Amino acid sequence: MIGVLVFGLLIQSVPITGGSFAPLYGLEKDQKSVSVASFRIDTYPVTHQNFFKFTKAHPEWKPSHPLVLLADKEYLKDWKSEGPSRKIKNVPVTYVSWFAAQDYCVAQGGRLPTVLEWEYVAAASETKKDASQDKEFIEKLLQWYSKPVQEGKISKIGKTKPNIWGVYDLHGVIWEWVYDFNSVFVTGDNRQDKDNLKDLFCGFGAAGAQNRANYAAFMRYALRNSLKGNYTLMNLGFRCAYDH
Amino acid sequence: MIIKKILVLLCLVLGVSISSFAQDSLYTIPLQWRDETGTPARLSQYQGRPVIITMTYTTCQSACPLIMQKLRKIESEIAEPKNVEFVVVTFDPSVDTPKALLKHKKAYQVEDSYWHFLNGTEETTRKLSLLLDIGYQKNNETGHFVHDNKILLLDAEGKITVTLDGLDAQIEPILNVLGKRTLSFFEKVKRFILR
Repeated sequence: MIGVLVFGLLIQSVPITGGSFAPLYGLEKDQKSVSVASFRIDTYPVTHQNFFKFTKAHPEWKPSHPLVLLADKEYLKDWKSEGPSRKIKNVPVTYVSWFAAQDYCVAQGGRLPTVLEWEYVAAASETKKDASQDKEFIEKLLQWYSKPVQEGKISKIGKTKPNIWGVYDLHGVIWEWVYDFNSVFVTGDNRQDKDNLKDLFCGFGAAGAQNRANYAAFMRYALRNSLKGNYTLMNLGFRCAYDH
Repeated sequence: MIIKKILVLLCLVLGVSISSFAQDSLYTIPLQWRDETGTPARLSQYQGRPVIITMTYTTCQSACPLIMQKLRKIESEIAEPKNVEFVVVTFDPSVDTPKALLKHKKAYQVEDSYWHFLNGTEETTRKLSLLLDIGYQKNNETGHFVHDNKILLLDAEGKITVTLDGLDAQIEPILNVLGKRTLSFFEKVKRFILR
C-alpha cells in the first residue's frame, strides 16, 4: 500500500479525455481531423532523478552500458559517472534515446505517448483545450522555439503554469520523444514514401500543412523526422503515457 | 583458456548471451517473433547467412505486392538464393497472425525453407522499424498503414549493408553483393530480344 502511495507521488499522471482535433499533418491527404482515445499522461517530463532510479533497477541502461544500436555515444553524457549531480535532480532528463525512454515507460506500466496524443495535449493552453488557432498562445510558443536551449541551462520541472489538462512543461523546457516519431505523414499527392516530408525542410513546407500559423508544430514535425531511435540530444527528453 | 571457458559457462548459467556480434549487429537486439508456423523466432537465428528483410502487411493492396514482386525478382537474379534468408515482417501483428501469414506465404508460392514471415507485438514491430529505419503509421480509421518501402540486406553478422529505398529503387546494389546468377543461353537471347 505504501509502495503504491510512494509510486503515485513519484509518478504523477493526469487523465486526458479523448476527442478529435486537427493535427498539423494528417495520415491522409487533406485530413481535417483525427480522433484520439482517452489516456493518461505524466504531469511532468521524466527527471534525472526518476531516470537514475530506473537505471539502478535496469543496469542495461546505466550510462556506459547500452548497445550502440539502442543509444548513441552521447547517452547520459551530462551525468557524473553513474548518476546525475544533485543540481540537476529535478531537471528533465535528456541525452536519452527512444529505446531508453520507451523501456523506462514500460517499466512504469506505460509507454511513450503517440505523436497524435502528444500533439493533442500540447495543443492546449492554460485556458483552452485546443489553442492551436490562438494567436497569443502560438506567439508564446514561438518565442521559446526561437531561443535555443543551452547546455546545462535546462530549467527544473514545473516552473511555468500547467495547461488546462494540468500538464506542465510541454513547451518551453525541452523537446520530447514520442512513440511513433518515425511515422510517415502525408502532406501532398505522393503517398508512396516519406519523400513527401522533404516539404518540411523547404521554405514553403508549412503551406502544405493544415494550419499555416502553427509554425511551432511544424518545427516539432521537422525535428521528429530528423531523428533515429538511438539518437540522444541535449534538449530531447520524454514523458510517459498510460492506456487508461 | 580455462578462465575463458569458465566465463562462457558462467554466462550461459546466468542466461547472459555473450555476443560475438559486432556492436552494430541487429542480432545484439533480442526481439521475439513468431513465424508463419507459429514457431518462436529471433532474427539472430539467421546468423551466418545473408538476410534480405522487409516490412509489409498482408491486407495492403498497393505498395506491398510490389515489394513482394521485387523480392521475388531478387530471388530469381541472385546466384544462390538457397543460401540467403528472405524475411518479411508484418506491420500489422494483430491482423497478420501466423495463420494469416501462412496463407499469405502459400498464396505467393514461395520456397518454404528460406522464406520467413514474422509476426511480433506492436512494440517489437515498432522497435524493428526503428532499427531498420522504416517509418510507418497505422490509420486507425481505415486500418491501413502508410509506410516506407524499403528492402534491406543484412550481412552474415546481422549488419545492415544495403538499403533499397522506395518502390522504384534498382535491385543492383543487392545483386552486386550477393552475386548475379549466370543466365542460360536462352535467357540471354530472351533478354536481348526484350531489350
